[in-house]
Amino acid sequence: MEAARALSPLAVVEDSDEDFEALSRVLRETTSREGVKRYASGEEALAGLLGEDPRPALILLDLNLPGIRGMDVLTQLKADARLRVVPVVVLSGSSREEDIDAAYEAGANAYLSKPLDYTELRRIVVSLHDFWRIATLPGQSR
Amino acid sequence: MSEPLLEPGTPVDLTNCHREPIRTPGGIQAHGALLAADESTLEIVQASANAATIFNRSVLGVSLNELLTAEVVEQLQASAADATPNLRPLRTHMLDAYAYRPAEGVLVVELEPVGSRTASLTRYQDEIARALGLLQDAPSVEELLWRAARVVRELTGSDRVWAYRFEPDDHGVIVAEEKREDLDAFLGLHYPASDIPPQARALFFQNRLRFIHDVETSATPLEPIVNPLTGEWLDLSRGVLRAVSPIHIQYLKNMGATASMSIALTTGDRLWGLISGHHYSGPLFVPHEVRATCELIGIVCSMQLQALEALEVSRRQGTLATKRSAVLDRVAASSSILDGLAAAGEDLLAVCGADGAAIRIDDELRLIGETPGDVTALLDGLTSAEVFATDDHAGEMPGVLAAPLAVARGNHIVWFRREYVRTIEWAHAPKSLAIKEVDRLNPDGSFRTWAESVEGESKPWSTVEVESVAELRSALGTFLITRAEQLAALNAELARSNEELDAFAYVAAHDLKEPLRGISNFTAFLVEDYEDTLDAEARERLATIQRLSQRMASLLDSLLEYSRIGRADLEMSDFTVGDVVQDALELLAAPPKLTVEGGEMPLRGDRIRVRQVLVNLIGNAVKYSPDEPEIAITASDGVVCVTDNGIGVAPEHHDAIFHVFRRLHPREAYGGGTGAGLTIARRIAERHGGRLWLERSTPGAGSAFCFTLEGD
Repeated sequence: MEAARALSPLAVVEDSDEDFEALSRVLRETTSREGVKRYASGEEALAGLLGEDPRPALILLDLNLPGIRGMDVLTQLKADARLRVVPVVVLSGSSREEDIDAAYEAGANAYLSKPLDYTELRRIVVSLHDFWRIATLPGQSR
Repeated sequence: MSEPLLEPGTPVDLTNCHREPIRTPGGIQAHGALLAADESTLEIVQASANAATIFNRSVLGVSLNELLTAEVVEQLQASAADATPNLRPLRTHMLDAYAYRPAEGVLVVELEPVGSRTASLTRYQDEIARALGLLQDAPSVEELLWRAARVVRELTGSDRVWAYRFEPDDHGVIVAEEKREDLDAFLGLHYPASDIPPQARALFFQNRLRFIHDVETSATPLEPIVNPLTGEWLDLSRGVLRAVSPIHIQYLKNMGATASMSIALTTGDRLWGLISGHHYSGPLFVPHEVRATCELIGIVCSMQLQALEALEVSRRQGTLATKRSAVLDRVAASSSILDGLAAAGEDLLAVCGADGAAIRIDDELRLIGETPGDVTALLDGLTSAEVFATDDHAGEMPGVLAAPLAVARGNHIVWFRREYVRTIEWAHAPKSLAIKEVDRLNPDGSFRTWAESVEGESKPWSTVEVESVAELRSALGTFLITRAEQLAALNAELARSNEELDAFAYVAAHDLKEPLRGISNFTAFLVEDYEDTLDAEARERLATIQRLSQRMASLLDSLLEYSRIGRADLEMSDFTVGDVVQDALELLAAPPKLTVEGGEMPLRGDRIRVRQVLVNLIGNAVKYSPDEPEIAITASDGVVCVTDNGIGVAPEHHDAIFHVFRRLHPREAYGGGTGAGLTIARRIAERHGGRLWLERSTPGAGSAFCFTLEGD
């Protein structure tokens, strides 16, 4: 286990390689790709996070997933005593009020609409990165 | 016959003969005699004045037994209850005797001399068998009556025998006639209803035969005139000797008749007509055997009439039913009832034998065949929900048969018949009786006729035809209902597929955005990563890819929005037009100046959606207006309108502007946009149960768009 002040690990649940690529690209500019763990599906994320994987400091969750739906992943993460404290930032292609409300209802800590514009994405990810860096996030101990 | 009968013995003339008490004439025809006895003692208390002559002694106070023997009297008493004395006379002392009881305790015996042509019973039995055979074989009503007239003439030896048919207004038409060759024909002549007064018609149901043997010999009075047992004049209606009304005698004399007869033809409770005869060459005494045969002929004829009429009706019904099903087949094969009926053409006319027809359904009018010029006014004037028929409508075509389909919506089928100008040959002027025009008579019994020209009438619609139309109407009603049900099912199906389409559009639009995002992002990566190696043209093309991706994204967003409105539940609340206009202005990036009239008008709906409608309409008004737009919002009677002074919409595009993604201008002109705004706004209004439409628009002079949130 590393010291808490180091950049806490970030979990990204994203099935789309292209979207992950875009995300990583921004993250790479701001920090190293170290400390970013990608899950390509909801099943994979739940298996890892509810299983042996270290608890991340922040979870970025795409709601539009194949197989088990993003909203169900969110619900299960928030139902887990160990993971409940980890902030979950939801990424979604939808900007519907109903979808946004439902996500917060299910325990999302932030809702980010996936923008089409890369510049916009960059701005959002940089803000997220800053938040990730300066916020005191849940500890690493299991 | 609402007026009471006259007191017996009151002198009658033309003004009161319809009230003449014909059952109690106080006398009998002079060829016979009448005895009335107290049944308890059999003592004769009243007799015709000629009885003493026939019996060669005074009869009053004498016992019936003494005159006729106890044996005969006993038989007469036994047969007195029988309804038809004509069929059952008792022959005694060369007299035919009949008995009946006109009142409690009063026994009347009528006596007639046995005729000179007395024949064997066998002969009459043969006659009857032959006559009945003839009548039973008659193929039509007309033929039946001709045969009946011939048979009756042969049996009675009367100079002329004819058959009357009574029309619905009770006037009679001669439809068959057998006569002495030298006589003028009566065939086809019409006789006014008043020729046979109502009380005489009623009597035919009780006593089917009426024979007047000799019009020249006066009636023999009863003595005393008032029956001592009842204190009243004797009711002779059940007998055969009843004296004839002096008015009728005069009538016959005017016609030159010396004797006459009538046989009732009845169908159910209706006097269908008469078989009548006139004799012109002196008295005609028809013996009881012949009268009995005539009565039988009358009865058989009546039964045959009923059967033949029923047959004729059912044949006609069959024909019309065939036409009806042809019409219904047409309707079933057509996309609309109106088209189906119009396509049926001649068959539709044949449903009731019309010359023309008009069909109007929901303001669409179709004409078939010959129709009057004022057909629309005529249709507008129809208010009854029932089938209605007339043959004397004041107009070009007097025959009108209307079948309302939906009166409230002015939906009708109306059939027409053209005018049928004809001449009625009256035997004499309908309003006057023969007695007033003595001078017109000829000695041989012929007489002048009086011709009436009938105009402004069509041939009448028969009951069968009116029923046929009613049948068609109710079949169409079922059709309308069936069609409505089909429509409802279709609507449900449509709603379901609309829902599926919405769901599909939503998912498609949503999922399409992801690869689109990839395209956009990777284009950006290319530009960033190869900044140094890309030339200006390559950068320009990559920028185009990004621009097109953006555009596609906004189209997908509109599609998402459109499908969302179909699926989302509305959150209903109450607000005013002013409230929601304020909401909309707050949402617009650059709120324009506008005037609001009727801002206090209440609305009920999903406020966010209604706001969206106004944002769209106001946004359009700004977009398509000059730099200083004059935008007015007016609200009244549930309708909200947004008016501008902008570029307007050309008439040929009034529909197109509501089609999704349909743009009338280059993409970048007027600030761009996906072309879905009005489609979405209209859908919001419709989702609320209302409408959104272009109220008016003139190119260059602005537009007015209006919407309601509730159905009309």
